[in-house]
Amino acid sequence: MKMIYQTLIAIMLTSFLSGCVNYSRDSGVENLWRQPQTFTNGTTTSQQVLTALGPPSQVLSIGKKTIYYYLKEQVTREGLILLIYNETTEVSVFDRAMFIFDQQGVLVDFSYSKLAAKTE
Amino acid sequence: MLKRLILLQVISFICLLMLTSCSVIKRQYGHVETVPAFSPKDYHQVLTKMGAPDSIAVLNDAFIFAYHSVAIDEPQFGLAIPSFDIFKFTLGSATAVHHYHFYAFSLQGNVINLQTNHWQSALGDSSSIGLIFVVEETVDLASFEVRRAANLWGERLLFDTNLIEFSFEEIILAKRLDLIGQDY
Repeated sequence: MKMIYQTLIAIMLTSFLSGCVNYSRDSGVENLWRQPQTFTNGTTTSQQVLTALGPPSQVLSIGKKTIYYYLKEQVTREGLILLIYNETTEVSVFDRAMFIFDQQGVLVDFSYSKLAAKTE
Repeated sequence: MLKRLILLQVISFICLLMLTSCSVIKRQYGHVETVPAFSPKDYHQVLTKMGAPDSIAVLNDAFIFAYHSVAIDEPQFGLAIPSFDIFKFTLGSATAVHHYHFYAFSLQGNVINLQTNHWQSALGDSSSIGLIFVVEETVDLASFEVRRAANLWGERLLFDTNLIEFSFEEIILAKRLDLIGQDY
């Protein structure tokens, strides 16, 4: 009888064994556009954007316009590891900023990616 | 004696339950803002509502903004071998839910075409054998884990122009169709 109880207790204790994992990594440029910046359509120049944010991840021309595209990738993973149930969640956030300039290098429009409510 | 037998049966049942386990692996790539349906006239309105796009493509007389997010759920069911339960056999399958917004503009910036779509696709199923304390991935999702093209773009510009297939100047000057931004 004692052995049965011991077995039962051992099983219950084992079922409570748990662990957790957590990691994150970033790649791409620093998302300085999330800091207070004063970019204004029609007056800010491409040089001012470069000074404020550094070199863009990509450059593209559309007709006579030029696009500076900035990207920062943030990956976080969290996990709960139990004996009978495990769950891991990995979220990749692509934080982006895009600036469109005219032929004279003056800002026509700019935009930042919308972040999910949880990551804002 | 009967009591003992019942107890043994209960313990055996609990042990059987313990031999099985399940895991849920969730992944989220990107985020597409949920907005009520709207009819933009130009790219300025799209940028205001949707933010910076995931990808931009340039054609001869048009350009495209694409917004794309993928949510992957991979539930798994594991079985352990009695008396050898340090190893676990796992069956898993993955399903992806996509949200995609597509906006095409003329070079003047006016909307030519737009389309939004949401769909679900099966990414496959598989099995694995692993340690019971480890959550193994049973579906190959390597294509989602490669470095983003945007983060490789600068490096590729440094390639020797005599060795590469085409010059990147053609892409920068929109002489050749290419997609910038995310590539999943």
